Amino acid sequence: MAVLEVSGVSLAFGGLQALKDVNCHVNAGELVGLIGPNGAGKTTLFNVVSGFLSPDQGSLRFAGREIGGLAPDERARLGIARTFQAVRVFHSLTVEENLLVPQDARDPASFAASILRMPWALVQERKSREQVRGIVHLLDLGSVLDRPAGDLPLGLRRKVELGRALASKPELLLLDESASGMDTRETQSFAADLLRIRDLLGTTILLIEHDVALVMGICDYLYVLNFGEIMAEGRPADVRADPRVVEAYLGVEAAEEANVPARA
Amino acid sequence: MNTGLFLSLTILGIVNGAMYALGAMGIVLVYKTTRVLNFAHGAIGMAATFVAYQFANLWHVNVMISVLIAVAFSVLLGGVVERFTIRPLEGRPPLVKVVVTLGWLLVLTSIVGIIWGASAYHLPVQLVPNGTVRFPGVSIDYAEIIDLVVAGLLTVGLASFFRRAQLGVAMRAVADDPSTARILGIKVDRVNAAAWAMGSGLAAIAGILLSQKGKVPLDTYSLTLVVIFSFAAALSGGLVSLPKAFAAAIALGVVQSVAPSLPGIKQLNIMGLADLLALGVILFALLRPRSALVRAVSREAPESAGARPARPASGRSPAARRAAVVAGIALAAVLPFALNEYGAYTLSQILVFAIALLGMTLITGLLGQPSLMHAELMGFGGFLAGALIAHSGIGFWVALPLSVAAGYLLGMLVGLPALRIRGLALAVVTLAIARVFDQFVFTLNWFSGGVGGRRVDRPSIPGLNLASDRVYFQVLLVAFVGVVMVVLSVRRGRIGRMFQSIRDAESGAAASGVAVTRAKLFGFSLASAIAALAGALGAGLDQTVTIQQYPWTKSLVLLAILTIMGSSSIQGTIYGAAFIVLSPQVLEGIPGLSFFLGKEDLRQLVPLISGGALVLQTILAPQGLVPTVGAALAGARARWPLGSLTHRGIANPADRGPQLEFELEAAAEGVS
Repeated sequence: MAVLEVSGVSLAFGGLQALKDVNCHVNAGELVGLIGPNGAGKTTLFNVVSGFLSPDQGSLRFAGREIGGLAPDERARLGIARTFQAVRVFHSLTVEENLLVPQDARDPASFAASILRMPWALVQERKSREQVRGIVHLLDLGSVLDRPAGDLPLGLRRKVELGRALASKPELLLLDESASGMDTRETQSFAADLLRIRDLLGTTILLIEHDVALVMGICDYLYVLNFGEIMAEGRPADVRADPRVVEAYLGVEAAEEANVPARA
Repeated sequence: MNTGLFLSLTILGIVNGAMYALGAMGIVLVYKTTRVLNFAHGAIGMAATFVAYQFANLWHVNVMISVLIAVAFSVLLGGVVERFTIRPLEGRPPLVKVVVTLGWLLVLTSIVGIIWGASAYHLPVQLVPNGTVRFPGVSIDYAEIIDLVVAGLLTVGLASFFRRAQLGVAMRAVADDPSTARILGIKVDRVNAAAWAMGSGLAAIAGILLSQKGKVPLDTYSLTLVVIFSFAAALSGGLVSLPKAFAAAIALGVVQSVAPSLPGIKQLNIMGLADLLALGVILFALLRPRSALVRAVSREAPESAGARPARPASGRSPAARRAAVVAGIALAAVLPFALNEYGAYTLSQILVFAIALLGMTLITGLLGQPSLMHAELMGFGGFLAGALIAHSGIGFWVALPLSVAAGYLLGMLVGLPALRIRGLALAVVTLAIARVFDQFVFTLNWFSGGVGGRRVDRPSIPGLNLASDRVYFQVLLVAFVGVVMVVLSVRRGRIGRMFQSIRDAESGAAASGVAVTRAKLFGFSLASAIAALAGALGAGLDQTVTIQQYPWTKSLVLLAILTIMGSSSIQGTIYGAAFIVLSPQVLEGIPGLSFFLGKEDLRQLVPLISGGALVLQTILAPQGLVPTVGAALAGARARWPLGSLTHRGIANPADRGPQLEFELEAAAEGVS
């Protein structure tokens, strides 16, 4: 079943056609990669899906429901979580507080009840903290739980942002270059995190990533975006072999690399 | 209205508009190059106008030479402001720089007020002899012709300066991308200083021309706040387009000039119509959907890597803390009985302002949104309670909750534009709304009781002698403790986390599901309700509410004081309130000072000190005084051998939020 269906989405900024009739879908439980050269429109597509930009044309369906007219926070509460290319953690809040915010936003208690510390509001708060504990364990953030997120190095800030996205128990997780700036070891541990998230939590993931090895290694399916258009899609092995993709994005070296197993 | 009158009013409007345009051009010039919205622009022009007045009218120096001296003074002042108080803030969020310009506004208006008198009448500098040129149907003053010619020349000159002159091109380059400009060998610092100097020079010319013929009275208030009209024009041009800003300025000038005499509006005799119109223009410019401006002034700052304060650890156990708080409250309760009635009255006043400042910590501290209208919200609460009692005969204890509820609703109403507006733009909007309150709402006789103000009888509670300030203090103490509890509960719980998430990264908050608009609206409303509570309780304390209690600088002083103390510090609200209430008395008590300065001048020292301290604090102690001093004390104690035994951090652990490090928000990350 498709969790996310993007049909015929187009968006122009002035004269620049950022997205051109984009069609794609992500099935439940899949880990799907979105790749393409810089300026291809990947983050724009994320912004359209998460509601930060509205497309000129096209429709968006999430879990069978049209979400086109909804604000970013409404989409988030429906179950679309995202991270940002430039990390946006809440730097003056502690790591734990960062992870609590999505729970706070979904807390059914009224503002007044929360301020007056009504029993039911306190019960909710306790539940939220328990929920967060699971994510802390999953991402191994226990040692920095009480540190202000802004004090952490970039890699950990990215992890906090990932944890924050997970804290809302999303059906769909949009990750925008979460591995950029990580070294090989960090990237490997990040890949392991992603697989654990998919397998343990059953979260569907759409991932923008430049690290070809990472994408090829863990994704179930790939979309290749070029000049705002979906240029190719398919299983990683098929996409890797697609000469157009090789020319537009992967480059000669990657092409040679790709050809090796084919000859073997 | 006859054609002749209509024509002269239109011409007057065009002339005024041209002056707003000059102001707007200075604002655009500075904003375009340095991305700083200069709230002190009007104040700089005002100060320069007084310099011209000193030379030409008092020292009888040749008028043209006086004007040149004034412009040179202004250029120098602009350069100094940039060099010493803006440049050190490189890399800090735009709003921090705005706060510094607000500090300068306070400093300049009070210095000028002390030297030349804040409310005295000053004969403006006369540039050209009296006389008119007669055209069929209408005659135009020489002064108006000079205004138009100068404004026209400067506009054309500035436009071609940007296009051709080397410095102008460099300014555009710096505006587009400072780091690239730097790599290309452009001396960015010098270009920025030049933009400030030129912009300030324009402010001087606009001020001198505007004050001619008393179009705008030569006083500290009027010329300083003309900046609002210039903001309206500058915002209409998206803060970057000079022609659009010019057209908007002329249009605003004409409408302001003609509208009050139009049939239908004339009968209404609306005071402050000019300000209402300006507010309308500002809101229109900002609320156009997806306007480039909104994106420009709301751009999210890149994640700031600025130093954050270490969370000062409190060595005390929760139980010890609680005991200390209870002891503190008990001590506060008996304190007025150790003083005379006047002392008790002073303490009560401190509590009134502390309550108001507590409300402000919610918006400024937690939500990270600037508000330049907090004193007006206080005044609203006081006047409304007074009006309700006077008109309907209900008792104080009924009027009080009604005023608080009305304050809540008013906050929601004012907050509504804040749905889309934030950061810099919100500062402009709240300043404009504050002026509408000063000029319009507070001048409605049925509401405020007119110039004499409104009498509010000291409320009574059976069995308690509330007539005594010592006893009324207890009422205020209960209210203060109650508000502290509400603020702490907000801060430590779920709502505080949501507020701070909005302050730190608004898009991140939205992506996490936080209903940003709803949360902000709630914050605004709650803060307004608290301000109204303070105002109404203050009215009961003073037994009167007058416009004089809420001078236009009060909101700025409140923001300055809170920022200086640390914008989310609870202790800071008490220290800040004590400063506001005690400093005039302390200053009057300094023997030498009262010899040199009159009583009115002494009062001017409060905005001067708070404005100056604000500028210094932003540069030297960005976290605010209370957290900084607290951290320093904690550090000193840690070095002291017995530190672990006597460890008692003043600073609250919750004060760790960077002060006014507002993160601005991008509606979109842009093209990937």
